[in-house]
Amino acid sequence: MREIDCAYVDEHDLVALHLAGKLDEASAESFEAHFLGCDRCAAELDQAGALRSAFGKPVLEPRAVNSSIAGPRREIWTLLAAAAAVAMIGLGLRNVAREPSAPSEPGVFRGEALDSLVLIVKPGEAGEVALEWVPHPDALTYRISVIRSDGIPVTKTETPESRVVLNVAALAPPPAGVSFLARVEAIDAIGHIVARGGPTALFPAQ
Amino acid sequence: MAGSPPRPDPMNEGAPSAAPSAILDLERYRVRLTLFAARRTRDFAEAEDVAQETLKRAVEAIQSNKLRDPDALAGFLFATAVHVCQNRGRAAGREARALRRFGASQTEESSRTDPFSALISHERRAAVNSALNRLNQEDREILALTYAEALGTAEIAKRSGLTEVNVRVRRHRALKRLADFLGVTPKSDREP
Repeated sequence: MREIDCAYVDEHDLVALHLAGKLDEASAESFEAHFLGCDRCAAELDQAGALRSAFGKPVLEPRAVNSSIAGPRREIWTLLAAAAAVAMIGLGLRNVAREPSAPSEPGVFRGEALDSLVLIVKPGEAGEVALEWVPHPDALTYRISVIRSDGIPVTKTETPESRVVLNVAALAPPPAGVSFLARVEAIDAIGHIVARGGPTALFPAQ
Repeated sequence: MAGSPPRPDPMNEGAPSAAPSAILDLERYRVRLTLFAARRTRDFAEAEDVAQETLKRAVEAIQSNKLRDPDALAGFLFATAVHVCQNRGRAAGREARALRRFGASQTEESSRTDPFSALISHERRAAVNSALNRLNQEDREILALTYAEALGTAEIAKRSGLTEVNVRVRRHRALKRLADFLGVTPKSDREP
């Protein structure tokens, strides 16, 4: 989420556009994060709402909802989902990541399921494996768990980045027919899981 | 009303008699949080509930010393409000599915065109309307294009044959005259 200041708000007419429902999701969220903590912009928002009401307009218009994916973040998720599917087919992995959940549209509640993180596995040198995913807008940190396909937990780590490199070669080799799987959970500022990806095989079973 | 139990106030529930100023200061975020939630809930009562729940959690965080840095408050409120909206959304989804299973029809969305008109009181709307009517045509038009039509400065400039700087200057003056009629401090004179 882009951090903005009052000058940016003024220059881009964010107050009026926000109340008229004309901002895309990313811009609306950036503006909301700003005005929550800004007395000046909050006061301007209040004044603009009163003006809209006096002009006979709704104080807050819903953002136009269409069938295409809303917002640039969701478009990126879709493109990477397609790339991940191709990469996984090419690597011959048996476990396929879940499809991203339907994008939430402004003014519509999300369903019960968490957002999905699409994990991309990139084998590296000397037994290292890089695991990457598109950053989730609400995540403060990501918890990565490596487990065996027979359910035995192996290791855990956390990172604020959307990428981690795992030294799989350093792990005790699993029994024949058992593979290493990775799962990633996106954790928000108050410790709740907001998205989940995997389990995804890091290497095919021997 | 005499004899009536006081309505629970999350700002004072369990708070010591000398409440920290940080807690007392939280109330000024209520309208902002309501507007924040309004975009997601599309229901005024629900948006008010989200604001209430978010403020309650902020009070708890301050009282338990988890929120000590005043600069972190806005970020905490944002993250908390997002989380509260998501939880309510999941609960609403479960309720809707349960209703469908029992053959009940879903509640129709309110047919009101502006569920958030309650954010602006009738008196305030009337006062602003009266002040708008005292402005000249040019001032009224630029405010209408900016706030009612939300055209953006560039578009207004293009339509009116003015430069963007001219549009901003005229809008600033119109807002100042409006504020004079309303007897309030105009935005430009507020501290940044």
